[in-house]
Amino acid sequence: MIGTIGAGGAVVTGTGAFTSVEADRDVAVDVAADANAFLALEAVGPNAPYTETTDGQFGVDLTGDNATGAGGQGVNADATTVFEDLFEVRNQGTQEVEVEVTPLILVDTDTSGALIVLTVPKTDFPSVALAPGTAETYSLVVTAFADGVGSDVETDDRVTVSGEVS
Amino acid sequence: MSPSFADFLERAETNLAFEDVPPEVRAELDDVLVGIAPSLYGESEGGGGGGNISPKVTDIIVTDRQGAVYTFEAEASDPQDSASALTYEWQIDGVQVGDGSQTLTRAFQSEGDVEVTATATDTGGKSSLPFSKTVSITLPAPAERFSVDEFEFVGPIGQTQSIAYSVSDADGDDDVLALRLSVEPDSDSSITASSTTLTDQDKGPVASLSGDFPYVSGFGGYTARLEALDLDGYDGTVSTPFTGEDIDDGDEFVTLREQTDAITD
Repeated sequence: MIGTIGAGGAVVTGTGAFTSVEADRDVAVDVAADANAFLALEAVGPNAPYTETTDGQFGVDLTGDNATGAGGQGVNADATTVFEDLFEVRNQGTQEVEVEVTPLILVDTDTSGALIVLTVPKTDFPSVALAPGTAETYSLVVTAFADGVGSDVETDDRVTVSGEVS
Repeated sequence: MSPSFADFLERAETNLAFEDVPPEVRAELDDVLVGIAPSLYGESEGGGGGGNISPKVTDIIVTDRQGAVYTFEAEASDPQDSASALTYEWQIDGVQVGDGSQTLTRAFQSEGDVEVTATATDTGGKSSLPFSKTVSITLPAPAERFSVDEFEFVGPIGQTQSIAYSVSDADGDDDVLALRLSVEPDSDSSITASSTTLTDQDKGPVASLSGDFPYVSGFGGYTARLEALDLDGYDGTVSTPFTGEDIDDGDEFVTLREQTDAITD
C-alpha cells in the first residue's frame, strides 16, 4: 500500500515571495493540504481518494486506514499498481523554483520480498523548474514482489518536497 | 538518455541493488514509466532497465597510513565496469584532490576529523552519487616526523673540527623546512655559544636537509643540539626564498639529538 506527501507551514514574507521550502511528509505503504501554500501540494484527478489531508498536511495513504468505499485496503502482492497523476506540486509564489521530491523511491525488503514505491514526476527528472502559477504532476507506482505467497513488506515513511529558487 | 527505473533506484536511501530486483519487475517498471510520461521516459536505451546504470560508491576505507600520509580506497560497484575501470573524483573537506584513481594518498598537516568524498564515473560517463565518510586524522609524535641520517663529530677526539648532520622527512609529507645546530658551552668553557639555521632557500619544504657546522671555537666542554622544523611546526606561510629570518619564536623546532663533547687542545 502507499502513504503520504504534503507541505506544511512556509515562511511568509511581505511580498509573498519565498526562496525555499522544505517539508517532510509521510508515505505509508502496507504492500498504500497545503493546497493554499506558496508551494502547494494537492490531490488531483480520480485517484484523489488515495490521499488524505490531516491538519492541513497533504499525504498519501494506501493502507487499511484509508480503505476505499468498496473495501480496498492496499495494493496487490506480486503486482505493480499505478496511481497515475495522483497529486501536483504548484508554485504559488512569485519566483521560479526548482521543485524536487526526495527520495523518489522508497524501498522495504524482508526475507519474503520487497516493496518499491516510486514517486514519478511527469515533465522532468529528478527535479523540475516551476514558474509561478505552474505545477508538476506526480504519479505513484507501487511494486510488491515476493519469493513466496504473500509478504509482510510495508512502508510508513516520509518524503521531502522541496522548492528552491532556480 | 532518458531516465529509467535504474535512475530511481540510484536515488534510493536503502541498499537494494539493481540485481536484487527481478529483471521482469525492472522491465515492467520501465514500461510503466513510459506509460506515465512517454516524452520523458520513453527513449531509454535498451528499455527494461538494460541501459547504462550508474556506478555506486559503497564505502571509503583507509588502506594504509605512514606517519601523516593516509591512503584511501573507494569501494564501488557498477553493472558494466569493474571498480578499477571507473574514474574517481575525490574531495577532502570539499576541496577536489587526487588524480582520478581508485586510491587517494594524502599527507595531512593537522589532526582532526576530515570529510573524505568519492564519486565514481563509469566508462559510459554515468556518475554515482557522492559518498562521504568522516575520517579522524592523527599525526605521529613530533620526533617521529624526522629521521636523523647523520649527526657526526668530525675530527680527532677532543679536537672536533666540524659537526656533520643530515635529517630527512619520516612521515611522508616531505616538508622539512629548517635544521638548527646549536653549540652551548659548559659554564667553565671558553667555547663561544653559537647556532646556525639551515634552510633550502629556493624550495622551502623539502624531503631532506644536510649541513656541516664548520668548527667550534675555544676550549672546554659543550653540548651540541640538533633540531628540526617542518610545516607541522611552522606557524606561518612559506614563501621563497625561505631563510632563517622567516622563523620566529612561534615556530616549534623539535630536538632530535643532544651530544656533549670537549675541546681539549
